[in-house]
Amino acid sequence: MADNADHIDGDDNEDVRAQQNLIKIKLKSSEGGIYECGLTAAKMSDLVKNMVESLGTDAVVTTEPIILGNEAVTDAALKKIIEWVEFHWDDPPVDHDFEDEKDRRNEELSHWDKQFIDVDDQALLFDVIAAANYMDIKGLVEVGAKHICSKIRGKSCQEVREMLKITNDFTAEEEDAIHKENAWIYAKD
Amino acid sequence: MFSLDLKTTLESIDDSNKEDNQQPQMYAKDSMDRFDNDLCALVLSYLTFEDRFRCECVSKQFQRTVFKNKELLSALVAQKQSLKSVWVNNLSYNINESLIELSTQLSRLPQLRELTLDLRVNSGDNSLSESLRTIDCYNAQVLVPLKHCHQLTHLTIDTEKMSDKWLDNCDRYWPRVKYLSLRVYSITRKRLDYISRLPALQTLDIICHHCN
Repeated sequence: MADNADHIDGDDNEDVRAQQNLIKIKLKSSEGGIYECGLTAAKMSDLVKNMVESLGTDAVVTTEPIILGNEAVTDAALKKIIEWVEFHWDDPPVDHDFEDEKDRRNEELSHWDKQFIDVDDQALLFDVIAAANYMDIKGLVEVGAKHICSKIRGKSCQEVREMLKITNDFTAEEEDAIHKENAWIYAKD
Repeated sequence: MFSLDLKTTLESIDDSNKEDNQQPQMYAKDSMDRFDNDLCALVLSYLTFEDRFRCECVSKQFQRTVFKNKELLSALVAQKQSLKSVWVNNLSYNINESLIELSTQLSRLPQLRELTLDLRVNSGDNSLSESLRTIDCYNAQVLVPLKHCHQLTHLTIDTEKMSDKWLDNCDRYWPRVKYLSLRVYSITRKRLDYISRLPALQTLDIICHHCN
């Protein structure tokens, strides 16, 4: 089995991906929790993918868990991330064509992704996004970014600060100056 | 008049120094202040054009990062197709493809009358000079999309180097140019020939170091 796994590494064939996802690897959070994840799903993280490729699938499957040392990778965040990659591992591969990328950026989140990312605990939300960024899971960072931007939409600076708990480090004069500079955007053509 | 101030690479280097000084500061887990500039910029790149401006005064980090993404220009063009005047300076577009992208976006402004392109790169920072060499202003393709801006009346180009090809047959695609200003390192006979054929030209302003 393990021999096989190494042999088929890197093959994009759907069946092979499905078969590979039956292989479980272990991921360890910065808090020490160890969680199982399908190999294909885990490799949605470029960080994990590179580790698997440099260590060899055999080593990853049979030995120590992969340690995700960033403090954003808490137990709760890692569980969420595994839930996301296990749902999305068989998505069609991302096309890097420019027009497609623009479409993808503007596309609304799927119902599943919306429900997934709409967590009440903002510390967990930020952990998931920062951890996904650290693990280099571009699709999940995008889901988080779209979610935050949809919450920002139409809100005033003060409302955004309160919602995302951002410290206002401008002086009143600096803030006024920016408002004046941007006044044209609200003016009619 | 719309002035597009694309943040320079120089500024982002300054930012990273500032960030280093702030490193010991601890941020609350549920505060977006905890995101570093790159992640913040990535998240905010999904904002709409108006939201970006509205968010500029949320915090200094937002101000630094909200316009970092090159999507700004496409967003601008999509929203303001009637723009008549654009001034591009402080260029962070330090790769050729981005320059082509820039001129492609500008070419989608059918009403464009006045265009100032300040492609001069801030010099004096050694760490930058390496990456800046990748600007290939001799590349003939860079300004080709601008040939669609037939309404142009005022054109200013400020750049170290430019390809002769940039002005090939310019009389055909910029028939209305009244005012042309070029700040270039050198100018050739051939380039002047093309300029002399611009049918509507009234004012020509050239500053160059070499003439051959």
